[in-house]
Amino acid sequence: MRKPHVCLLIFLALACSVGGCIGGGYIGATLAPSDKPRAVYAPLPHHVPLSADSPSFRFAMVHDVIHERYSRHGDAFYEERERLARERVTGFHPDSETAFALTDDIAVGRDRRGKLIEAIAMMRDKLKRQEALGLKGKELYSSYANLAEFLLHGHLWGMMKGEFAARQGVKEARDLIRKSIEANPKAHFGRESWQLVAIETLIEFGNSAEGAKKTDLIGNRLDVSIKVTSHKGTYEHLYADTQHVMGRPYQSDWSTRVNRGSSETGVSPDGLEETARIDLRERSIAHVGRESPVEKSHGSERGKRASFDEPALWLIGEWRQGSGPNPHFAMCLGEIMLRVGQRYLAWSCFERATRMSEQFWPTAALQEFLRTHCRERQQSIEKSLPESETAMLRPNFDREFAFGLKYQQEYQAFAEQQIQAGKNLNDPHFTEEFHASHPPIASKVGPEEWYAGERSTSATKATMKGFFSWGPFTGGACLLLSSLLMNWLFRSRPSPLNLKEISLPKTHQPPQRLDPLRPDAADPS
Amino acid sequence: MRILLSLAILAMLSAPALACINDSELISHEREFKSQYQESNYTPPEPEQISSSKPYLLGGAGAMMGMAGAFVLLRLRSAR
Repeated sequence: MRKPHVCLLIFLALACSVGGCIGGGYIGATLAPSDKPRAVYAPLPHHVPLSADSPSFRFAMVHDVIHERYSRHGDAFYEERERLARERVTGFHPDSETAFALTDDIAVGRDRRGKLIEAIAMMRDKLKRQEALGLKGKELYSSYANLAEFLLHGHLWGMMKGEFAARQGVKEARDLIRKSIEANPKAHFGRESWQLVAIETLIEFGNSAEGAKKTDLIGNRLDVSIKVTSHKGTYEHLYADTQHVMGRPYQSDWSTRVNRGSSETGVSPDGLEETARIDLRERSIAHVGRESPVEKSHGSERGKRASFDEPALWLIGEWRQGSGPNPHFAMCLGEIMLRVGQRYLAWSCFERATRMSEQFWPTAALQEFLRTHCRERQQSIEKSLPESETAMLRPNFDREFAFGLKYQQEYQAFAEQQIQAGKNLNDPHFTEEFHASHPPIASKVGPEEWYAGERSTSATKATMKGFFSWGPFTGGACLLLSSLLMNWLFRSRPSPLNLKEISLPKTHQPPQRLDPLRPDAADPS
Repeated sequence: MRILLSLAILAMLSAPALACINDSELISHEREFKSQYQESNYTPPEPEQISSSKPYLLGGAGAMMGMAGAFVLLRLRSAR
């Protein structure tokens, strides 16, 4: 075959290459599977605490208070502490700072053992002496807060019964809490503002007990059903922020940012400035409280709306360090856990609230309301769980609850033995032996504190990636193949003529040289 | 069991209170509470590493083949 011009060959080879590149790239872009989703993990946004020195919320905390898995002092401890405080206080001037602090210990001990009238009288006297000394602000904080505590302890139940004097006592407690917040806004990491919210709500309930059927202490609606689902999808962004809906512990925007690889999830909470921390929390953590009524006829909003971990930490603190368990706290924790998708925890909270229903309100009708409401919430949760798990919920609760109560009983018995043995309870090693012989009571923090998602990859990016990986490959392959083909077609070959070898005779004479001047001389003819 | 029951009844009968107690234990209690939960040995599973070498391998192979093709073309030209 006649070999074409080399430029034509190069053009043909390049055309094949470009065609192969485009064709292969297109096929690669359309047929190549999109990137396999890549798992992404991030600690949940409530790990960023409200303030730098405050503890951040963990779901294990709720589990532990609901099942009484924490150390709690018994009567013997408070009796002994009071005895020691009374001994010490005699060595100080009655108006000294130490004497005031010891008075707090004595009064708290009285309150713990049900001697409320004495506790209130001691706090009133302490406050009066402090004011007479001209003390102001933070120095009065513990007197305000403790007196408020004792007044509530003494009058809340009476107010629920409709007693006027008790109602006045609760209102006085509310005013004292306001003063204590003004005096020391950062006390208890700002959690006292939630006490105020709860007391305002209870005072409202005292006016009309029907209110207790509509919302919990912080304004989560009780008069609506919440659809409980098992799927991981979050649709809460479709609802207004003040509506009741089961969601996740984070806002949907936060998970989108994490899936896109936002750097903010890698930031250590310790390294954040206060404004950045507050901003991050506001944009990331799911909100609860102060929900809108379904219809205006269902009453108005009450309570306060905020990141769910704020009221949850307040409730846990009150439970552990305040007066202990009560159904209002348990139900409120249940409503919060339900709204952040913690179905098992919510179920346990409602179970615990049911078991304390006699404490909910003095009237049988409201106690029955609590039991019915909690049962309905539990049934909604159970419907979203496998049957095998539903059957185990109550036995598991009973086992955990018994474990917690047993631990507390052993802890209190140990303390009593130590006191009887003459050990000083102010010694930092007072309970060391007990803790050495018992595993930690606090539940371990685990995967429930982590978000697991899929790194999102845009379709355009995947298409481009497919094109630019397969295009050069097929383009190069086409160039090589076309070059080889042309090489095969147009390579230099020997002539296809059928030549035979001719052997020369032995007598062969060399040809005569022709004389150009005598052409006839060479011609024998 | 009787003790547990009486403890449970005691817990049930205590009236609700909503304020914060302030005594000598407050600071140590807060510190202990924080230390119990802030430390965790749990680490999430390592995210699955997807090899990113595939596109480079394909592109590299394509470039090699292209160069080989160009060499063949040049050889064809010089043999003319």
